[in-house]
Amino acid sequence: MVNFCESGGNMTINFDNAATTFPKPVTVAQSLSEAIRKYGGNAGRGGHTLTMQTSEKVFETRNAVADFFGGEPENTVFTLNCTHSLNLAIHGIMQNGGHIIISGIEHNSSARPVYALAEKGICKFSIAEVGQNDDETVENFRKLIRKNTKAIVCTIAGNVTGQIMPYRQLASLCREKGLCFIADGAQACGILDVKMSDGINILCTSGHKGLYGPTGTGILISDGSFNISPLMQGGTGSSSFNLKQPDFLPDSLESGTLNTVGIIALKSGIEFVYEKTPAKIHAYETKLCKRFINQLENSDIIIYRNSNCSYVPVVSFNIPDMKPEQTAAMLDSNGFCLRAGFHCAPLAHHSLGTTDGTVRFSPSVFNTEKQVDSLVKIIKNHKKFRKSY
Amino acid sequence: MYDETEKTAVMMPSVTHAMKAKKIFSSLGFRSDIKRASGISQKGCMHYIEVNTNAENVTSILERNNIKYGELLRKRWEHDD
Repeated sequence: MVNFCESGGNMTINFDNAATTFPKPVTVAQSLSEAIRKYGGNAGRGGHTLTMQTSEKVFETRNAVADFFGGEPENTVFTLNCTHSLNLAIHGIMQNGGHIIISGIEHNSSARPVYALAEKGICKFSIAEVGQNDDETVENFRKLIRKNTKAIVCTIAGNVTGQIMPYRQLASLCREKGLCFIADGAQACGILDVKMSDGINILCTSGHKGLYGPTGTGILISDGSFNISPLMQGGTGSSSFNLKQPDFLPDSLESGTLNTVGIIALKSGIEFVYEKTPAKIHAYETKLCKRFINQLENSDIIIYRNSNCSYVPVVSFNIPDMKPEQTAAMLDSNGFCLRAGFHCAPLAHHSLGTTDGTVRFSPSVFNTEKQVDSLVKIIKNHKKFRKSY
Repeated sequence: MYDETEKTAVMMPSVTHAMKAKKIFSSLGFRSDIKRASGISQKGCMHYIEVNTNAENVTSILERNNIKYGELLRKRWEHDD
């Protein structure tokens, strides 16, 4: 399959897959279509044929997700997106107060709920700076642990530069100190072989990025060792005579009708990734990133990478004397979709010193070397193209 | 492996637990059905799973697989006829 879509008669190539992968596998589109035509019951509600068939399909995805990450289906919660999952986890663990530590490259999906809780006086938080190497980063977290620290929230891979964080070491630190380790897998799941057995207590991720599912799908997986208080209450299809919200997963965190169509199609996305394997996807996309970086090496382009660090296939760059938004507009007018700005991660830009933000190149398995070469050609010739931006 | 004359119905906390249980019972060769239990439980709408084996088997399999379950509804059925 080629990665282009028709847009006003022009061919558009998507290199903004870190925001959401596009195109999706054909099987995902087929599942979506089948789900909306055939599985019209409300999962978990009632006992008639339609609802039971839909419930079974939802369970199949739940089971596939649990298998993929080494969790249990009953501890696998469907949400709307990774932000939703992180809000459930952070509010659910911190609602009675305490102290929480986040990394210095967190996305707003973690940073904002933590900040909101602190602003209300419910909890305190600290930000651990990312060090020059993994040991230094872990040490920075360790130094911030207090008597009342309850949790560490850390992205597995940052969404601005793609830097892989020492999440397994942080999980060990949490286990040693009895803290809850909440991992943001938005940029890592489907690309790195993330497993609950890495020591993650709560894994939050989206379904529409590296898992190639539709938008409106998110996942929270708990290892069951920390109670997550629900952020909202409502109908779950279970214990319905009781005004008290169910206290067991997944129902405690799944109030209201699920996005059954999206969830059913998500299974096809996971099967697509499972078949290709995260290792091969990582290798292929990394090859595209290296091709991108190597071709720009002797140019004036600024690439935000550090040779001591490991990265998922995301590259942040800037063209000197050109605002990121101008660069993205120039590339867009030439048929390439890349995201510019702060990528909802102000902390990361504070660490990088990129006060105007960056432009982000993020390929998927559907991109080709030829597309990368065409993009590089435009970037290298920015002086020729930039005048009108 | 099991006695066809025996069926056990057990309340499940959620349809997810019921489906996980059904998958495990099926892998062990037991037939099972998930049914809605409105009006049966004082907790309101719930799902129960009906399995073609005795209560001891059902509960030990559920426990062995760490699946939460609720009350046993009936321990023994006679043939429908």
